Amino acid sequence: MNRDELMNRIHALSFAMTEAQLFLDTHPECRDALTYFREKRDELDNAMTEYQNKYGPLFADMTVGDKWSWVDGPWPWQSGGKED
Amino acid sequence: MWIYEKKLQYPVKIKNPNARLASLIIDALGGPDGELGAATRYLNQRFTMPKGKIIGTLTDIGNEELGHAEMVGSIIYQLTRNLTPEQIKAGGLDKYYIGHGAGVYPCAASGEPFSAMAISSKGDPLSDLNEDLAAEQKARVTYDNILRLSDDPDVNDVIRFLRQREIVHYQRFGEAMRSLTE
Ligand SMILES: [Fe+2]
Repeated sequence: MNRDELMNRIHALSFAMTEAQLFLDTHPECRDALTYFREKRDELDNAMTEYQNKYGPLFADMTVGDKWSWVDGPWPWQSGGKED
Repeated sequence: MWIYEKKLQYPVKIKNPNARLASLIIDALGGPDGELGAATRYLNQRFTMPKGKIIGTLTDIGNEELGHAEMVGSIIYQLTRNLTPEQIKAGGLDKYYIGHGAGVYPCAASGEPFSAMAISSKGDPLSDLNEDLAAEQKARVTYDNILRLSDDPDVNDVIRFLRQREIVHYQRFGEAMRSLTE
């Protein structure tokens, strides 16, 4: 997967987790939702690790290599636009 | 506490600058029913809530609203990139521009700065959760109004996502309120 494809996958998985998390807040006894949440979490873990190793950190403490790449762009709002 | 994740909840990729739209959409950041108010409302109300389910709901929705404030800020930033003085004047963004340039400043579309006067935290669960239900509907209406006035597909795609989230939040707050009488 290229950078955009991988980020799309991260967006989708992380959104699925957010939805499940909010549902679980008011349905903490729902086993199906809990299973779903954990499945998505494991898939997201893998996607995040792959992304951060290839393209840079999404969390500051995931910065790898001998340079503090946390400050490297693009920042999340710096996309789109005619110049891209 | 909070840890920053270097991504938006939903991608914002706007091709065309548009001063007029920016001057309207700023309401969704700093207006009375905007995302900054939503996050501030929920994250402060949660301290005195009586049940874990309700505290969890307010914490997680408040957290998500912070992400929405970031998305609306991204929309404003992208809509105001590379505007000419003529475009700023023609789009009615001149009054904003004088004080803020292309900076992102939380205010209503009317220019009124963000105010915590638009939110409430009463220390009373029924009062606060009723406010939250109304707040989600008012935020949804603001997004509906934006969709009526905007014909930019890049913007509207993001606004539709944000609108849909208000509907989900309304649903969860309704369940949180019913848990008061369980
Ligand atoms: Fe909301």
